[in-house]
Amino acid sequence: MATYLIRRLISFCLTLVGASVLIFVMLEILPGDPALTMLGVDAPESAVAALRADLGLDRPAPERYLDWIAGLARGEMGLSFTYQVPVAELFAERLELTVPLAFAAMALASLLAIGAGLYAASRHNRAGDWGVMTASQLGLAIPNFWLGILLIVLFALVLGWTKAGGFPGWEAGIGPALGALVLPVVALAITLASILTRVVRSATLEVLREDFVRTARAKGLGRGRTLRRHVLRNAMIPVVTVMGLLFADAMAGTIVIENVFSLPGMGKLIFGAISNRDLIVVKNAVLLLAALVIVVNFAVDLLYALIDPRVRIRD
Amino acid sequence: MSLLAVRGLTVALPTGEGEARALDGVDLELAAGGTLGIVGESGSGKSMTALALMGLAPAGARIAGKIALDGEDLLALGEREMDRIRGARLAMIFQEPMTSLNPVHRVGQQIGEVLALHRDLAGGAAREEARRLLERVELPRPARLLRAYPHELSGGQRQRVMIAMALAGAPDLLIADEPTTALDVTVQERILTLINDLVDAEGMGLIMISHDFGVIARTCEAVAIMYGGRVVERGPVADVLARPAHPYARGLIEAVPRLGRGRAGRLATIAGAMPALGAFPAGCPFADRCPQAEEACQLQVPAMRPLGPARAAACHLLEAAP
Repeated sequence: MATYLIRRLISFCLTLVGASVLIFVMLEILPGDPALTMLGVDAPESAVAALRADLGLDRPAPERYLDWIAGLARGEMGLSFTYQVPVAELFAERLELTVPLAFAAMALASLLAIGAGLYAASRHNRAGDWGVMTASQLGLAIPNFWLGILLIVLFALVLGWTKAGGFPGWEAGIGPALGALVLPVVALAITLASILTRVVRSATLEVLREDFVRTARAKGLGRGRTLRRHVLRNAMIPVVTVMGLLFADAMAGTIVIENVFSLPGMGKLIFGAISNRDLIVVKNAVLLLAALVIVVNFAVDLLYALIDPRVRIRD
Repeated sequence: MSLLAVRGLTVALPTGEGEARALDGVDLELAAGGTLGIVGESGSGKSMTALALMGLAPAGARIAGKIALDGEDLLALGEREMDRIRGARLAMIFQEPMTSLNPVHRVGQQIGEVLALHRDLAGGAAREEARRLLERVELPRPARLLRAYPHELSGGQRQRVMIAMALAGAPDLLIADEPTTALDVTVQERILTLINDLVDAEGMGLIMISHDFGVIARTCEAVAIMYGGRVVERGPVADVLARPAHPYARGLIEAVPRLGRGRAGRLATIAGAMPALGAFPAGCPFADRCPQAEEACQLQVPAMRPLGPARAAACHLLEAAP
């Protein structure tokens, strides 16, 4: 178990370093002058040169990279070019919305997918299975931004149950804040749930064919109990893997959904930063999102060991 | 009244073109505490018989006939009622001990499940009983084993755990489907001895399923030989072994290797292979492979013919013999 943990931890750190190098290379080394990008092609030569010096772009790349990482280690990411406030402050404020949004969407998607997937597998090739698969096909086909707009039209404009968008902030109280997140969470969760339902269904069908399922029935366990006690946990091994991968989709989805619902989160910040060519914000935000995805997948690796005792000795 | 009486058990499975009978009119009889072996090649229907008895035939199978356990017709019972019988009055152990236990649950949990389900035991009482059961199947250090996962055990140990689980519900009838086929020869011997001892001590009935006549001879008093989803011969094991009546039974018994037969006696085999489900001849299922087959064998299914007390065989050629 200890070796398993250490191996996972090393691969976790390496992935993080790899992601940061990749981001740095793409944004600062590949052809295209960041200072020129930020100021626009019409900017006077002197202003570009001044910004280059300001950003430290005249120094060698490895030095700049190490500076960036050392700054991150101290919790300093520099000033936002457009907002003129520390990037760290901007992020802290935005993450308060994006992290709950992404996790709530993942939680809702998992709940829906496990229920629907188990149900479909237990009704294999019958009407219930067919119904679930059709619904998931539909969920996959509808883009989340379009679903978001439909939800706004129905619940905000026609029924008038909620506001069309915006976020009052957690200071406004848990109720109103959560209320503002319901539609975005649903819009984000449906696509994720549709993918995950298929994974749960096929993993469950696979496990249902295992010998130990027949043993469970031979002991006198009913279909439902066999499904819950013997099938579910074994089926969760591939499902958890896909959940980790889908978390990246959920984070990417927040960029679109936060814009549809005009929620002041990381997604909206990144979108704006790209439009405003705010390189420092983009660079750090992308790394932060990558780090979040990597942390979640590290947690998934740890979950394996909890779900399957064989993993604990395999490595 | 007999413990188990099976009459005309027929299991039809859906195939690409229509239905095929995996079992066709199987009759079996077992007295309380009695032991019955079912022998046959793969595809003969012996495992399907076991699954049908447990009410675990594959989804989509159409089942007809009668399975009476202590006079109660199991085929007439609902799903829930059958759940109460499985594990409590009928228990089964399987061929593959490596995959028949759930890899993510501890041994103690898996045995405890039966105790909770059929004997209302939980907590410390269940743990104590599970420990006693592991002792009963002669596993060393049972208290430690309760906390082990299946992957930490050897094949023989897992099969002993399966047997302990089967015993947990104190069943009247134990069905063992090739319980030693996947094990080493030395372990096989010990598992068979254990099953024999437990059946004697608990007064359980036993149905032992095997392709190996030797295993049946070691564990059972009576035997039913199956071919093509039918019972083709039945009788006391010693009797059948000494004087097999059906050509298939003769072939099976001659095909058992014996030490000391020398090089001269090459191992006898039965020519050909068992046809696929649904591809059996219209008459006797064995007609295509039978060295003595006559024209009538191809046309008509032979009926079971009594050959003395508790003995019967289904073969057209027996008519001619005195």
